[in-house]
Amino acid sequence: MAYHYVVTAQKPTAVISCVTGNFTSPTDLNLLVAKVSRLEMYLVTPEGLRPMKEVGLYGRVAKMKMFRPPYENKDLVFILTARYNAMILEWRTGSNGELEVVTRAHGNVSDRIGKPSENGILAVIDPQARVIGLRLYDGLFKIIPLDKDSTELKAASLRLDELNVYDVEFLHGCSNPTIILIHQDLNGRHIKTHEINLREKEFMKIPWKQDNVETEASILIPVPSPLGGAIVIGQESIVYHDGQSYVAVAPPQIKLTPINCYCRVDGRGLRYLLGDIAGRLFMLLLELQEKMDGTQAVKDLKVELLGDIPIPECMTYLDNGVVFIGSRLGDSALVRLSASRDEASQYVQPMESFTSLAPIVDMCVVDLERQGQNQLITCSGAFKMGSLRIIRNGIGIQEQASIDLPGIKGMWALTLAPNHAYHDTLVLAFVGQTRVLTLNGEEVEETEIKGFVSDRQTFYTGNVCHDQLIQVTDEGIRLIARAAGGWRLAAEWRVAGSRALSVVACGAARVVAAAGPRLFLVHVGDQQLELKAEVCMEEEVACLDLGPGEDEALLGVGLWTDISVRVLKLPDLRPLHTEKLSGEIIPRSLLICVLEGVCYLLCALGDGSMFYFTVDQETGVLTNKKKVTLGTQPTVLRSFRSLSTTNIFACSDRPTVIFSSNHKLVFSNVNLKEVTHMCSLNAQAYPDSLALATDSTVTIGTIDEIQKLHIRTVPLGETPRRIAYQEASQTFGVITMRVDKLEWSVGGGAAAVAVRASASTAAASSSGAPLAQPKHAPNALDLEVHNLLVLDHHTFEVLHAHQLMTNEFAMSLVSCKLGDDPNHYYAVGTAILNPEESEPKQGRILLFHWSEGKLAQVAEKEIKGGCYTLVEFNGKLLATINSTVRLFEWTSEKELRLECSHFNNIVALYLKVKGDFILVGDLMRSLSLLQYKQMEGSFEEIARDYSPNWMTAVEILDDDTFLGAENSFNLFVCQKDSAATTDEERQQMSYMGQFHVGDMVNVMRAGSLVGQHADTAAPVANPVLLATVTGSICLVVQLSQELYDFLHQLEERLTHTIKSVGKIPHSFWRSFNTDIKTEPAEGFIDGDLIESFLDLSRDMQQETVQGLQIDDGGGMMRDATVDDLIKIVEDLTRIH
Amino acid sequence: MSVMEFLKDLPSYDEHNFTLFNTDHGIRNCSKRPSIYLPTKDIPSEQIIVTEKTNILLRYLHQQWEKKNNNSPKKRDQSHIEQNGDDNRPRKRPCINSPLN
Repeated sequence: MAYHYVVTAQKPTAVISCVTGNFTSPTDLNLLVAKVSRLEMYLVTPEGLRPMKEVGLYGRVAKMKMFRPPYENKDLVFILTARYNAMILEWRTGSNGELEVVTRAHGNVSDRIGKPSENGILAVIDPQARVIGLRLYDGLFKIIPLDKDSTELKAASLRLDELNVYDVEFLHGCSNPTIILIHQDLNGRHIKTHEINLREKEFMKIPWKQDNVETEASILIPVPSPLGGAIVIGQESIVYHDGQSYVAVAPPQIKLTPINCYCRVDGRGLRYLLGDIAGRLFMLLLELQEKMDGTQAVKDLKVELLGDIPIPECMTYLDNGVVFIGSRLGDSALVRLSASRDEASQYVQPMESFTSLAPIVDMCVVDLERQGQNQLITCSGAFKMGSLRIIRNGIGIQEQASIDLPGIKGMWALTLAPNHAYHDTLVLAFVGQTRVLTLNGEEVEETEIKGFVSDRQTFYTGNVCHDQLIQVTDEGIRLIARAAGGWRLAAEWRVAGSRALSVVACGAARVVAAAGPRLFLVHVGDQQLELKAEVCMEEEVACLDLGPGEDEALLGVGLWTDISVRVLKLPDLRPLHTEKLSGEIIPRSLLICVLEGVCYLLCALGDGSMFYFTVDQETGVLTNKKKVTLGTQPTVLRSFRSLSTTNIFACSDRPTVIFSSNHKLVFSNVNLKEVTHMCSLNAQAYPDSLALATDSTVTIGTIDEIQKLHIRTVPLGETPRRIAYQEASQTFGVITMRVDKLEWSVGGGAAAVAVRASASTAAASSSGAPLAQPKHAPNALDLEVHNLLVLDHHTFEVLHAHQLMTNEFAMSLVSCKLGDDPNHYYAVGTAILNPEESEPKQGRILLFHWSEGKLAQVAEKEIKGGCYTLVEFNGKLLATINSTVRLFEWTSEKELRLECSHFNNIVALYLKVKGDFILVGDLMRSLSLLQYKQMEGSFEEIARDYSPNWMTAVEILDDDTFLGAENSFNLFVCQKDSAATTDEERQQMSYMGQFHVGDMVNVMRAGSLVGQHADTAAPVANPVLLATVTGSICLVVQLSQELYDFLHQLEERLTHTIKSVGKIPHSFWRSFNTDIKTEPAEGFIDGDLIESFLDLSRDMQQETVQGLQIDDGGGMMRDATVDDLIKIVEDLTRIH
Repeated sequence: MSVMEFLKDLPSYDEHNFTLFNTDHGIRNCSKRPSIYLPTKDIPSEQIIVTEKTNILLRYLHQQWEKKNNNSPKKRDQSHIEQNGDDNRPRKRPCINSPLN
């Protein structure tokens, strides 16, 4: 058997729908954004959008609409999922003051029979909130009358004569709910209205209709009362129709690209925003005239281009000219409309962007910095929003400056100028000396401070009370005050006895220092130092730190020999608590700090591991002991502030930033090789920065926003399709597609013109075929141009662009080393497209060599079809070409020669290889496994999954286990059974798991984003990263059966503890579901559900754990405690 | 018509909204994520959406049948008779001397 754990590392980012309303209270103005299965509620404030709550649903949002019943004082939300679960949700403030989501109504509205509409689900709500209308299946219109008093909302299907419906809306101002729809028949597209009789549940009559509207009309906009009627948006024209009369316009601006979404601006319905698929924003204005009877009627429609926006999926007007644009092809945005144009002569100004990886089409996993930690480079976005995204786990330091200075033992930032808000000095401690650097703008120069000793190693220095400085060395404490001529020594306290000071902790008005086992508390006064308390510990002090709380502060002390942590209380250094640490490694660094209101004590040991506890600030008792491994060397813990939150930096051979999120500590790797010391630095030229010391240098840099996955964007301005990494040439190869416009010259010839500057047009050098007019479509306006780009692996600068032939589409890309040839090549597989053919009949495999800044084509092989995938296989090139799998060898004549082929597929789309085995993913015939027989030079099909799965990605997990993703958003695991007795059994792959992941997986890559040697105590194996159309990244790992069984029990309990918003059962959501079957999930653990255990309150955790049995390590079962569970689950969170 | 007219007097719910939005440092990137709502309290839903199980054709036939019955003179409909109280002449006379039945 095989057991798997699937978890989301990056939640979906594509915006499916957005609405503005008063959701959280009658006066709050909210934005609600649906990102596939997540709903994000924002509050509109003077400062912008403030995130409020995120809610996960057990379903993919297909439609989201808001409405307000007459008896409500705020808006409700109706959501329909892709699997026909309907729900009405209300956001309200619960009794504890927290926002909660109430499922007011729920139910499944699917029918047993019916043909799901090819135009997708349509959902509309009557403006008076009398009824919800759904078009789920062709020829049927489902109504859900909104009856307030009944406990059941009875949905009923009405027969709809119109089969091919493109859009439906409810008209305003009708005594009975009345729908208007656009439908198509043999004669063209028409609009038609139907009045609904809610009591009889049938259509009563057709108030009016209009035959033959524009052939591409696809959007209806209902106009509010008193005007009523509806606007019909077509490809070239816009029509307003109110039943009696109509006004039509054909604005030239909208002709080029279809409009795909709209939002109403004002309540009267005179202004609308329209967005087109090129990412342009228009405003539509209804001009009125007064009729004879005094009523107003539409006189004219005016359209104006406002400017560029992200390619929209949906948009909504918020307030004061600010509009939210939701996109599924790239970053969503907040934009402001303004009557005055900006420099780019646009009436739209971008305000804020919302990072989105969607759609991820391809990706590669590389360890660019060779630190044992992978980065993910994705091909994200499309058209003008195409980009590469560099995703890494952890936190990045953006280097601002660096100084070569070896041997640093400590580092502190000081402010020397009077009444200055910024640091202006950096003090560096070395063995036997201290050096002072002045930061003068961006310049750094060495200086001296009078009263400072420079021939000793400083243990601590800092600004203290009364505008003084303090310096602690092994001799004692020096207080330095401002005097007429600069600084001077104001007071000194020398440690008595033979032992010198070794460790120190300092607050603004007190110093705690230790000499051997003796601890001294020294108060800092105005030009004086006073010893307040002295105690002797049982053992020598190894490290110490002062907690918050001034005179009553806690002091944490780590001791030698007995390896313990003591908690003492000021002012008399009274011992409060003793905690023995297990093991024999001495504590080396200790820190007490408050994160998100929780006081922690962290103690790092000499071997790179660290214990941490929560501290009771009254009693000093340490609880919740936990241990993690941060590095392999002694670790120095320092706290720092970033973006107004306190974080901890663990300096070691694997630097780590520790921060608190959702009241738990998160450990995030920093992408630096080694850090020995660090301090916060807030200098004028380097605000909000960190100074980081390594063995040889000091680096000043800013730290990335705290988050687990760090995303950097490399905009391309065209659609990226495939990516490959070539370590030998330190480059990335990227296949892109751009759409050029054909422009007709006077002579009748056409020339393709790039629409905008993009990666391929702005490349440093270029090569390839000149564009020719396509033969098959001489009148086409657009031309798709495919390029192979070569990018530098550090700067991501486009070094070269190689353009393919007209009508030639690049389908696949791989970096490979073939045969005995020492060179690394980029191999590109193409298809030459002719729209009259159902599949490509021709294509090429091209081999390129990048060296010394030049791209040379070294081989070209004509093939009879499109080359969907290329992989390197035993020094040869393996390709799928239409329905075949073919192996090419690289001859000494530098030619690709066909060695063998395999024919048993419809369209062989995906390939993965391991040893001699080849996993093939077919368009519709699931997975098959081939073996390459080296001796015979042939393929043998050894096993196949005979289910009709339409594949979207495949991966080899281990020698026998294969992971597949299919196009109904499911994952499944197949296993070959080599030990089976009959041939027939051997040839059939058996199912080992199936799971509804709820997203279309485009690409799978073996690997993980967590450092390979990082401390992942979780016993998991063979990680595979999955990337999806909606921009999410998931991780699948293998589990042992014991862990699977245990987590399965926890999962089952959590489905009871955590109530589903919308009341969709978890088992329904995760069941394997396609058009032809629905089967319960098995063999997979839902990691997202498991990890939400950590977000539960302690009480709920306790309730969940009740009765759960755990192996005590020796094979005996005992009741699991909450802490057992937290440890297991936290370990699992650290694998992604 | 100038664009000014398109964009003048844009609707305002609260005139303070977005006034303190700072774009001096270029386009902001939204990094704050909303905290996660994890419901553990069971709030029963007030209403359940149910789908009518009747086949659409059967319902249509039922409706037609009822309609037909409603429209045609209702022989056995007592209420019909009671409503038209003045027409107190029974349509069916009691059969007194029937040899059969």
